[in-house]
Amino acid sequence: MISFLKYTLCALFLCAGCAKNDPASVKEENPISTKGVYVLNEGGFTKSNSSLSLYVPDSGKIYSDVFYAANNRSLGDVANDIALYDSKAFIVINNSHKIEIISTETHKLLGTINVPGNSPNKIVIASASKGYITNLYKGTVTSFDPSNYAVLKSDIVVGMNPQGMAVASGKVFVCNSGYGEDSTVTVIDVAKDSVVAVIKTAKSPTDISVDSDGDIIVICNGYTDFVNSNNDTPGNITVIDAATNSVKATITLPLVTFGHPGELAVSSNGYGFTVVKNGLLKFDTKSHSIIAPSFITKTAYSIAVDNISERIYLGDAKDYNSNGKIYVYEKSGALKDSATVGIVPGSIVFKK
Amino acid sequence: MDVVVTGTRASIPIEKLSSSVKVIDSLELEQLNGVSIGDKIKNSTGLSLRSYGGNGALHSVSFRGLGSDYSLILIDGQRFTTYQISTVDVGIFQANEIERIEVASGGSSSQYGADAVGGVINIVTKRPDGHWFVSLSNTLGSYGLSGFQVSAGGGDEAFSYRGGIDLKRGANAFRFHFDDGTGVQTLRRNGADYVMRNYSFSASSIFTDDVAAHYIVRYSNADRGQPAAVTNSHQNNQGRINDHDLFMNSTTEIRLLEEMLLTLPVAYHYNRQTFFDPDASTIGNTVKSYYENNILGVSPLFRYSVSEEHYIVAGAELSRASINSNEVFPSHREQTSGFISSEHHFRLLTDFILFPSVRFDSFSDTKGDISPKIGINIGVLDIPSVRIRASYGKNFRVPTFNDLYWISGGNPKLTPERSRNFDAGLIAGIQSDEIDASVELTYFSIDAADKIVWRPVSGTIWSPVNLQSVTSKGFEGSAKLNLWKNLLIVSYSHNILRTRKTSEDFPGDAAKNKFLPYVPKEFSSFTLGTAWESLSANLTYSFTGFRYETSDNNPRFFLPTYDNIDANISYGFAAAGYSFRVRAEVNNLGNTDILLIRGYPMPLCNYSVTSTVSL
Repeated sequence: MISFLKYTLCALFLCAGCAKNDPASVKEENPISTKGVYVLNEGGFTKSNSSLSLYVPDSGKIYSDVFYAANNRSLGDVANDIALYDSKAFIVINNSHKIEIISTETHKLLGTINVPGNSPNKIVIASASKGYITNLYKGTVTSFDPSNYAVLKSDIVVGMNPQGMAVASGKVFVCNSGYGEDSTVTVIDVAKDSVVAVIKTAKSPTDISVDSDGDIIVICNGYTDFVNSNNDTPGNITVIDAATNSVKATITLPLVTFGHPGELAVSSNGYGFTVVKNGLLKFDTKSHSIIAPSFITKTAYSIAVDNISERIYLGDAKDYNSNGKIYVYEKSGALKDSATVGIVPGSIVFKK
Repeated sequence: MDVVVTGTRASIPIEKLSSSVKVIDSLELEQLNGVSIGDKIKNSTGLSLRSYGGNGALHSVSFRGLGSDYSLILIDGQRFTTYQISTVDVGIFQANEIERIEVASGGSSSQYGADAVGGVINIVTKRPDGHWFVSLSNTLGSYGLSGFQVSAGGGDEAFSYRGGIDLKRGANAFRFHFDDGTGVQTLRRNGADYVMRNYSFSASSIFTDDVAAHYIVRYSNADRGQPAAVTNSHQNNQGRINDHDLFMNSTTEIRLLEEMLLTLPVAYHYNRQTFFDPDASTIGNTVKSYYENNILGVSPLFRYSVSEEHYIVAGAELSRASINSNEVFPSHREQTSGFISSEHHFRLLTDFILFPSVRFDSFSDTKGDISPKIGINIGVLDIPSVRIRASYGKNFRVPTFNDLYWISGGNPKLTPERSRNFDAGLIAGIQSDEIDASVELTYFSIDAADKIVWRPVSGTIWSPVNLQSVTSKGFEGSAKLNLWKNLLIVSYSHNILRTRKTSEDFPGDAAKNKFLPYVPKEFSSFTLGTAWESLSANLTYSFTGFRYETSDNNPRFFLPTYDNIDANISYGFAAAGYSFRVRAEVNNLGNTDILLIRGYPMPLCNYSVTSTVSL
């Protein structure tokens, strides 16, 4: 009855408006068993338009959304992080409160871990049977089993606003940023899922990685005062000895020169990068010193470095509401390639 | 034809204006579905309503493809829009004690100053007329909607008064469809309950034949859940918004000479909004913010009828607005404005009306502007009446307190956004005892520059800059046919819009020359109604085309086309000296998924019944 009424009304005023003129559906390609670089695109907050792009360095080809191509739906709302392990990709969808697990061969969905009431942010896989997710607004970490997607322990208490995590010496190191209000790294024993140490750092540790010597490299943003920037404190690069849970070195980053440092990428070849005010700062992970204060003069929303080719990848979020771009640089810092990816490219990982 | 005041500040029949003004009169207000001003205007030509979901949710108005902060809302001709955010929530503005709503499309900065870029909505309150009455109504509807309204008035020729109380509440756990990719589920909205209260009082004093005064006081309070976007099927919304709004206006009218009228309005507007969300587990720290706006203004207006053919209006506006908030640096703005506009009738080959006007605005805390406008209206035919009209003017939007003084990122160096608006079209009509028909067609073109856009500056801090240029062009057409004194009412309106960003935010910006997100290219509505003795019935069909969601118009991400049917029927009778009326309405009769904003579903089919008794 209702649809009869609707179509009668349509017929009554024979207007173009009655045509269902939505844009035609878009065909996405899905390459099978292809090596490349995954770029996880956050999408807009509440827009449910996260996507997973795949860049193939040899050909320069870009697949704009392999998740959509394989599963015929969008990933969800705000895809914050991706971890690869054993031919699987574990993708954290922050505002959909879930982790999607896909095959890195077919990109088909294998399973979902729902974490209602949490704000999942970063993920790390410690072993075949243990993975960790930070709960950004709860000050906790959830452990799960990557083989069967079961949640093991949902409330390992860490510091404020936990973000980046790294695994070394059978331990998980968790950055407690507190958005400037916290200044600690919590150490969790993987075997016991319990906190074994809390390491004091500069303010707002956010990003973290393991270097070629097995040390932990942490980026501390420093404190940002929105009202009075005179109260800001500088950030730094903190080096933690993973065996002893102690700070062994810091590289200070004066505010005037660098502003507040952001994303981190560490190479297994003895160096790392962090995003600073005027571009990419390159530092030595062995001598713990700055190699080049402005190695690439382009700021980025995300960075990654390939251990084999030593190429550097920068993600550019543009206006945060249109497709972003990745820029690929040679080891020398020369621009090699660029490609259009999805909305807000926030994580870049290498599929071997 | 209706006589309006919006646009020229003088009473003038709408067919003789230089641009389009629509009137929703008290009869139409009764016949339209819904509870708020937002519901009543949603199908007006030239505007689109953006709603965050059903009764009690935030509703904002956008004219001609421009954002909601380019619309100016007036009450009885006095500015209601605050300088903190230039958007008014018309979803909690109850349609209680309202005589009519005048919807003026196009720029009117030369009359009303800041923010009158896309259009102006003038909400005209009911004036007491001295007759004694009392009326009681009760509303019951879907999703726990219940309401109670009372209005009464009395007095004599020298002093008359009226007042009304409108109370509404609803649990509002409405049904909607949600698809996270694994299949469509029917969910219920959570944390969207509301209580809305409105108290209105107005009085008129006629002191002498030449001096009269009118007073209005409107106080409203809305306490409502503010649910988050639906991004998964586990909803646990605890956010709440509470609004207190007080608007007072006292207008003294003095007739200096028979052809000279001075009006002295003094208006005060207080608004306090608090937002509280304790759910730190999903939104971060507990959010607790408040915004307190005060604005006091006087706006003397002088009207002089030089002759039958020439009419002059001159006015000034002096006001002080302030903001007190934990999110915005405490600030205030003193405004000094003046304008002059006139109306000149010539008889060349035909009847020709010229409308020149100019206004200056200066603000103590930011740059002002000078806004000129010229309009014409030319009679082509007398019977049926066919008139051509056109206008061209400069308009501006002043940076808001949020833009300038937001604690984390506000930019005090912002300058006003500017636009040049052109419109032209025709209005034709025929009126007799049996038929009242009219047709309007308008082409418009808006060039807006220095649009304020919030951009990331470092880390998580965003800050606004004068960055973008936008053009919006389109056609608006409407037709209305009323046969045999309301026995058959047919009306149709159609809007075609092309709104694009014409500048680059950065070199190589893929969004240049693309359509603005969320703006439909096409929308229309069709109404069929009848009123016969004390029975009336109306059916409205509306259609909205798809809207892109990203600035680069990615075809993967869009809000789909939807259509909507609303209907109502009303019957009145008299018994035992009382008059009774029963009215039933159904919204979204087709049970369609209406998606105005991603993540904020609208209710599926819902209804309400209102019974009224009056004496």
